[in-house]
Amino acid sequence: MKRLFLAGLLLVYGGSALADPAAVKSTHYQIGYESGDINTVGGSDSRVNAVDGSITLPLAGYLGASVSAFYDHYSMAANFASLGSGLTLASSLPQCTVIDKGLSAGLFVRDPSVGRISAGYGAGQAMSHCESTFLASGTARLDMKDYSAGAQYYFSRFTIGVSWNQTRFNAFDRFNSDSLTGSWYPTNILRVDLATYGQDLKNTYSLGVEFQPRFFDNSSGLWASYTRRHQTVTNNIIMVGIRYYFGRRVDLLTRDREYR
Amino acid sequence: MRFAVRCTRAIALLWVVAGLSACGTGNQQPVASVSTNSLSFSATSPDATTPSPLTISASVSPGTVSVAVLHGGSAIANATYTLSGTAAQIVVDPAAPSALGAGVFHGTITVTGYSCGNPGCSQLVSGNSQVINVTYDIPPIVRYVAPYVGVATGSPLTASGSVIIRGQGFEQFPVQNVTFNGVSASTFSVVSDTEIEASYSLTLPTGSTYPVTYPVQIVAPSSPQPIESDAKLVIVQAPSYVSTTLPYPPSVTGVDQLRYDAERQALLVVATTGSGTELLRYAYSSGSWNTTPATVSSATLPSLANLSDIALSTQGGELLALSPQYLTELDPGTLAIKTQYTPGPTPAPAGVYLKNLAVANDGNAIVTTGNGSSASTPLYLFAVRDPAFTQNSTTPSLDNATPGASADGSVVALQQGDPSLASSPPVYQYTASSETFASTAAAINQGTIAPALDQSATRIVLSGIDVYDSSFTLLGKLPSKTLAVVVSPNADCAYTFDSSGQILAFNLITGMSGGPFPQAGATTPVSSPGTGGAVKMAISPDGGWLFLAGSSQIVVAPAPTNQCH
Repeated sequence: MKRLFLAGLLLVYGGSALADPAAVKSTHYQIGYESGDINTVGGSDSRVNAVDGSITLPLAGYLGASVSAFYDHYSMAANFASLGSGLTLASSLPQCTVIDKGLSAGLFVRDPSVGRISAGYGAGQAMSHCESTFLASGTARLDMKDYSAGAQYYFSRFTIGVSWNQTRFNAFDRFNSDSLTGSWYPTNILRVDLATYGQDLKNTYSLGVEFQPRFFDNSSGLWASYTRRHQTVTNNIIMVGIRYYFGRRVDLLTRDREYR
Repeated sequence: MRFAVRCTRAIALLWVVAGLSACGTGNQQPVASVSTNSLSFSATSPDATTPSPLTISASVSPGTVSVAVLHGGSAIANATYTLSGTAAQIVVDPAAPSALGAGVFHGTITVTGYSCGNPGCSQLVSGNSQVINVTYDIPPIVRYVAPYVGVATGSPLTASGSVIIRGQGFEQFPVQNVTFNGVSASTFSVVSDTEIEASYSLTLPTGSTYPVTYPVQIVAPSSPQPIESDAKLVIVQAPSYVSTTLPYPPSVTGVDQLRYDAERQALLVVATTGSGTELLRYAYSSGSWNTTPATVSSATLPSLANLSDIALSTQGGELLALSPQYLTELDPGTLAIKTQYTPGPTPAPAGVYLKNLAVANDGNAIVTTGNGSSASTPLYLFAVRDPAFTQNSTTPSLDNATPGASADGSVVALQQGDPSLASSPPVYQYTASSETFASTAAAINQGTIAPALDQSATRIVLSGIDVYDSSFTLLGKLPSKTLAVVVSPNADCAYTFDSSGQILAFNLITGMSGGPFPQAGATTPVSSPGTGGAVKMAISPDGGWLFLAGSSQIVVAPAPTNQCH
């Protein structure tokens, strides 16, 4: 029902906009590297290093498409000292290496003066390289399928976005998340994001900035984010990254609303 | 108007948000719980079998994407788990006690749940972990005491002496005392984690039936478990033999080896016959020697053909007999055959035969080999306690090596080569405390006489002539006409039997100038053992009696011990 609703929304909006083709001005490429620390309060830190890339291309009129890929390398903490009160932990803190990689593709319609509606599908795989088992598969490998839909509304220097995402792990339970994101562009080269999440990511909030400095000649962007997830266990996630953009040199606001 | 349109669109988007938020499976917490946060293993000793695995049950909530069970610490050999839905069974395998030794060991098992950290689950975050602390107690063990035979003398009968106690874990838990059947040692010193030096002075109960066994034990109150001890000091009365001869069976034409079993008062002989070899056992009982020996030969077991050497194990419980391809364990009291073993883990090369053996106080027999020519061939260790041939990183290949061990088993000297070599090969020693072989400062082309050592390896006679101290520095020489030699337990005297037919005593304490040792006495045995072939010699633990086996017979003769003081 939900997917039908989203598909209808896309078609109606895309059809009405066919007269003014401006979803993606030209094909946009970007690659990025990011690194971060995932802290479990009272426990140990996990580390992640990742590379990703995406292509955004115009299809017709307001209709655009995107293809992206990622490769993440995690050193996952597996220790939680506060539960070991009075206990002696092993001399070395155990870590678990997990490789996460995936591909995704999506369609969207966009009017740069109004907003964007998108739907996407992705497939990924996580592989544990320690004594770790994914519950969904019962093995060290987890195959994932990801369905997503989202909408953004452009309002002056503000963007309000909502998204829905469902990840299916083999035959296991689905992982659902909703988000509401507010973005502000104090200048054309700086964006500040505030996001809150629901469902399985409930009580999760994030603050992010992306900066496209002049001295990079609009070819690269730096970004950072802080996410706090407060459930039974509180996680603090700090990520920093750099992105390189191929092709047109445009400011960040323009890139977000007209190219990617 | 345009503002109104945009507001309408914004409201529509918020409606979408509300609609999407109604979907989903609800919140799940990636929390793992386990049936226990502590596990304990214990073994009775480092030699014990590995304790059975223990199982922990764990449960994780459905929101958990992944579960990791990681383990660390020496106590745990492995931790495996199976998942059934959200229930996990974790099987914890403790490490083998032999791999750990004695002590209190720890390990940790961490069960962690991971959940998705972002939409799409391209990011995982750690949930909380359950930590299971594992402790593993392994007490020390006392394995051997050497020499394991002590001698009671005087009136009332008392026994005193020094011993080396071997085991494991002596430094893991403070040793506060060493006892012999509950009687405290006169002195003791923990030399290493595997070795204690102790001395004893025991008054034997009146009317004791000899031999009297004194279990050896260490007192370490902090040990988490009772301490297992397999070491027993056996006290015998000083022999009251008379000079005599013991005839060979008619088939015997010569002798290859002679050992004195002080615990059982028996002589063990490897004798050459026309058809091979025989193992003979002459027992002393009720004041006399049995002149008809018990025998074992290839007729008993074909693989016993051509025996070359015999030795008692560190605690005297096994008689080790060497034939070209086998080491055979026999009962030293009955000569009943127990088990046979072949060299390993690398089999002896083709043409290589087992040659000689000597026993150290770590429970190992050092087995040498030869191939009929002057060439280096591998040595082996034979572990009597856990019977198997082994080789360690220091085990050398030597040229027809002949071993000789001190009575306390601390040192096995290995001479090698033959007089035809242009240069003398180095003498090796096996040091029991470190279980290592090493070349020594001495080099000698071995003759036909095996190394002879005193109880503590302070005097080492090589090739029957050259006398060295414990660092293999040459002290002096014995006569070149020597046919057999032994050293008194206290190292003050060397007794030789030479071609003159006499037993000569040489004072090894004085006259250490590198030249001949001064002769301190001489005696002529009641009869010649026969010098038509090799002559083998043994000495009783009290140093009072000498045993000679020659080509004709066995001779029991008193040692002129007092002439060396």
